[in-house]
Amino acid sequence: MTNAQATADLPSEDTSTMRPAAGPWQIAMRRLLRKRLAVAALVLIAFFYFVGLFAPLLAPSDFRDQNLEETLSGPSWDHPFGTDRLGRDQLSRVIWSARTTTIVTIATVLTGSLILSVGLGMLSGYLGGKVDTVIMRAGEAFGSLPALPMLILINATMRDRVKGWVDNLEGWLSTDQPLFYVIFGVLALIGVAALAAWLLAGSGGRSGAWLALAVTSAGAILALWGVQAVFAMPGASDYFLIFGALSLFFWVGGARVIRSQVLALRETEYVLAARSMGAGTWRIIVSHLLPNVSPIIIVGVSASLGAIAGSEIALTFLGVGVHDPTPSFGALIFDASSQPVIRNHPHLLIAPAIVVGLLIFGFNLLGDALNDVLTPKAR
Amino acid sequence: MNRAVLVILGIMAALVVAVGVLVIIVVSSGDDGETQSGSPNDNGGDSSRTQLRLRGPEPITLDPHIIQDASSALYVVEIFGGLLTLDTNLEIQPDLAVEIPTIENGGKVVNPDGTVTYTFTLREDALFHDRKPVLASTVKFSFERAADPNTRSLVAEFFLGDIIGVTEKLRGEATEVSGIRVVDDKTIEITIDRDLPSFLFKLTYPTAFVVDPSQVDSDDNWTRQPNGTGPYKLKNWRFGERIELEANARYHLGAPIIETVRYELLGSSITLYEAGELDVAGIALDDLERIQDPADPLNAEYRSGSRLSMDYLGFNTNTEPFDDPLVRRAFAMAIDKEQIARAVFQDAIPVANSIVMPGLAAYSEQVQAPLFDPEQARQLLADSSYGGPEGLPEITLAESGTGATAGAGTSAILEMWRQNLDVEVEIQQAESATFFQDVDQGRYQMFTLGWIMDYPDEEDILNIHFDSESPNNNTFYSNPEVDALLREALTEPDSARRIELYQQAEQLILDDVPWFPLFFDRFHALVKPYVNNYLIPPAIVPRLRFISFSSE
Amino acid sequence: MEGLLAYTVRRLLWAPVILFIVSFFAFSITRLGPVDTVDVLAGPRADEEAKERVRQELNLDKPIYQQYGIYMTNLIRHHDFGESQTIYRGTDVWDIIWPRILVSMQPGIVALVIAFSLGTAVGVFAALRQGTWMDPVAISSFLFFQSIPVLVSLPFLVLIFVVKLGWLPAIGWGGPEIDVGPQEVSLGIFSRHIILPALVLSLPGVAGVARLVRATTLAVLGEDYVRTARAKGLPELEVVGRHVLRNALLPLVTVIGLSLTTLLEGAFFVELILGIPGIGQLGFQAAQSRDYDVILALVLIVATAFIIANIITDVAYTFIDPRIRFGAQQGQ
Repeated sequence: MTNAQATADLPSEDTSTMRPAAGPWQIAMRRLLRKRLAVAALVLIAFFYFVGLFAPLLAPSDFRDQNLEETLSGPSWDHPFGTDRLGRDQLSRVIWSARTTTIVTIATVLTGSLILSVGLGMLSGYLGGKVDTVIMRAGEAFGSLPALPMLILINATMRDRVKGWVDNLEGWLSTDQPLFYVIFGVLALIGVAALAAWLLAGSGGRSGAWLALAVTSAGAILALWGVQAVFAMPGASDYFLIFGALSLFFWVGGARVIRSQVLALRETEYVLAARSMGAGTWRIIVSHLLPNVSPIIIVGVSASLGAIAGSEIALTFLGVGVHDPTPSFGALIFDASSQPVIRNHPHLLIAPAIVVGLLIFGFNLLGDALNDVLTPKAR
Repeated sequence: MNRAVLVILGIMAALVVAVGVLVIIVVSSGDDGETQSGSPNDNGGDSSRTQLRLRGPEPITLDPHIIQDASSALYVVEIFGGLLTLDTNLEIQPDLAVEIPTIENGGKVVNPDGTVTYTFTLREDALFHDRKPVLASTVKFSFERAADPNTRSLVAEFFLGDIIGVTEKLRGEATEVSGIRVVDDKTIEITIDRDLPSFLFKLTYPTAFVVDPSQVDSDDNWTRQPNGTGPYKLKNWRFGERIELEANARYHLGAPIIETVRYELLGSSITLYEAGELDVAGIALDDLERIQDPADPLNAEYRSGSRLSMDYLGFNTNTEPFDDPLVRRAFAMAIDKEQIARAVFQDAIPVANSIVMPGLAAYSEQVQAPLFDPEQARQLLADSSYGGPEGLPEITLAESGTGATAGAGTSAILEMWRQNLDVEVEIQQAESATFFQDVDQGRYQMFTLGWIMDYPDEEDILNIHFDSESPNNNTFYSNPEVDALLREALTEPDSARRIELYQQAEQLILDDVPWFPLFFDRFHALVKPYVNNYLIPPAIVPRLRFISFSSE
Repeated sequence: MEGLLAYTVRRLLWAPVILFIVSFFAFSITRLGPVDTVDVLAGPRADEEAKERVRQELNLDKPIYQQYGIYMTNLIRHHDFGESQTIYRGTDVWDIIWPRILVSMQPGIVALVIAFSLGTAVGVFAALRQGTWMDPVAISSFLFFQSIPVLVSLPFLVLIFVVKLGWLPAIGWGGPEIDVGPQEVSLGIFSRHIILPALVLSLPGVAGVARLVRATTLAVLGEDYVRTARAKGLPELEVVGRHVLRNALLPLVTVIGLSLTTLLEGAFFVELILGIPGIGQLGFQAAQSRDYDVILALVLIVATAFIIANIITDVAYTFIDPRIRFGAQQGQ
């Protein structure tokens, strides 16, 4: 949360110099890989996410497994980070906490940064007028708020209610429900059909819209499965509350940048040409604008990842994030930051603190480098 | 040099600079004499010491009529007083009254209809802090305020309900309490509905304390500057920061020796103690091992002792799945308290196998809660109406606490349920004020809580919690057999028979497991050698006025 | 200048609208969000009748916009934020919050000053040493501090300076006291209590300021008039002082808004870990004890402060911006 500053250092709106050049991706990638520090950060973050995703396989033991015969032992071969008061392996707790961070950041990026900021930013930029005003003003209202107190307010007041909703939904969205598989099947059918339509249309008349539909339905299937998996976890409502609330605050920056990009692109010749040839709004957005703003999306997403991860840790630390027994860095650090514990068992603080410090540092370095790379503005 | 190396160099440079800056700041401001605010003479053996510095909890309220938690009571018993009080040995002593009414001195009269009338004569020198005299009408006003439905006292019914007319007043059916009669300015009569051996004890509880009518009526925020009759006055309560008490030099039972007592409400007590900013400090579990080591310099200042207090697990018998006694029993028998006490609490607190604690007359090692037996626990769960772990609804355990993680003991218990019963339980934490409210409202399925005795009588733990009619029965437990035994014990004059009745009732309760006793309480504290008479009584009673500093 | 005036007016008119959106949003969440508002407010063992009374007293039976209207009317007419419902039951929310704001402001102000002066120094230094090894070292070292969350760095600092070395006071807050009405407030700013919180809060901000100052300084250094001045052989310090600093400092105003966010969010952890009785500590307590009106008041006050700060920076920036260009032209 303290690193909110990094997110705000997004490229300024003066990005009109960027033209839809061929292969912005490759250029960006090449430039990025030339920066060693950025590569180091990238490796660090990739490693973190790898650990987070495969936590159940990587962790030596479950985060709850207690061994009351071996409490508060210092680092050793069996327990490289030592054990806590309940004899739980600190290494496993750290690995499982990485999983929580992974889930929360990915979910927030999907809902907040991608869907909200890309969607609203593009709509706002492309449609302009009243839509633009409403979206941007709402964004301004959210953006001018201190996020942490608002998040606390939302999490403290809405927890019971969200728990109710989630419990309710959990019944619907479970693998025990036949309806769940029906929806799955329908989505899969749509996806396959769209893909077939795209392939069969022949190279001449290939429409991006079919491909987009196919990708969307595949995405929906994945999302549905992911959501189902999250629902099945204990403490699911906490996750939903957190990334729901975080999404509310982390779309503004991205949307603003994307809007200014779209504004610049809207008047370019080829968009005008496409429009004069009768292409619809959606089609223009999907097949002309989206590919060209994607580098910006990457910047927005990577810059907000660090802040999102930090927010989850902060909220948990304050007791309004995920709750026991779900492991989180916020909880680990909270436990270890009381003076008697720091003093007598410092090993409990060191491991989570270093991991969190490195992670946020990595995110900041990467965000910085991407910022440099993708905005050709001279520094 | 390439950029990455430079960055690493930069980081190291930053660290060096940071440490350097800190060192400079600290060293340069080190001897400006301003070590901390407002506390004169904090270091060394200074004979002019006048302030006792303690670390205290933040009270929920200082209104004596509604408090029901130990952290508020701590301050209230020093600021306020009632007709009677408890001394540090937990014996009844007169406070505002001249003497304890007994049959011998004519203060207690058993009326022909079975009711009992106590007559209290108020001390001539019984004064409020602002020197207003305490009159019989003041006492009557206080009782009636406590019993007023608008005061919303949850404890008035238990502690004052024996007085004739209090129940009617609590229900809003009467404007006055008929059982309290002002005879003259200094004499008051209290009539209760039957002869109860423990009634006078109840008058030592804060709900029976005297408040200043003119203050209470005129000032909504009166608890920030309460006008009481106790040995100390509240000088200052800075929310979330500190509480300062100032000696009431005209206190009728003997003026306090120490002029001011300051409670810090924030900070780590042992660090404050070692920095010389506290005179007494509680010891956190993580420090205990270190301090118990005889080689540690603090070991000489270490004190510990027991209190009439216990921790328990409460099952709300109105909610699923704990409406089935077999489930409660299964959950209880899956907990290995011995192991938790040894491994998690490092034997800092003893395991409790009964509700009544050692030190009370009815304590007996024969009366026992279900013992640890994972096999049987699983069997019981399978035999229950829920048929086993799969049949159980979602279960949440509530505890009082703030922050990101649950207490270590609670987490250990949860894990034992997961291992031994294959049941996943969630934890919900709430801040104490809300937590108490929610427990009373029966909003939790189960909870962990502690109970410290208000006075040394079994009534104050058994009747108050397990009589199905009691407003403080927080598990909504109801067993007619237990009710009968408890009510019989209440009025039983023969103490041996009374103990027997209580033991029978307790065993029935333990078998039904509305409460599952976990641990008895012990305190572990550090007391500076210059603090004399720092008594830590087994219950919450006025004690600050006895403390003194040795002049060395 | 007309454009500027119009912009300023538009910004100022816009502020109440944002405030309205924010306050309505926050208010609705506190009233509609919790499942148990009435239960909490009515207190334990309240029967239906009592709950109904509470509902009427607090207008919970009215539609949300009416409740909001009543709340805001009380707030604006009587500065009445309502009463604390759980933490300090019955006490005026404003009386609780006001002393805390004064406490929280102190480390914040000191941190802001440190961050700005240190950041400017580092930024100018780095710009002047562009191309040498000192430039990236200076900037990235502070980037490191920016990346360490307060809740990671602070426990270590406490361990070293309070527990192990005993150099800093173990009590979180203290100092000379002033009476501000509801209670006294300690001025930690005049004591050693300020050191740790101010330091921890300022370090993350240094990098941001330094980078901005470095960029603007570089830009200014590239201007012809500065090059001329340097070529004329004016001492380096004078060039920096006269031409560079003056122009480079102006855009810094825009960072204030951001720094406020960082400071406020840092304050939660600093106050919790060190035990400082400020608004962060209160927010934590209120969130834990479901004292909805206290959280609401906190959010409203903080949001108002933010919106005002944002407007000031925005307007200031538009006033400052042309002056830079103007100065540059004159220099030529």
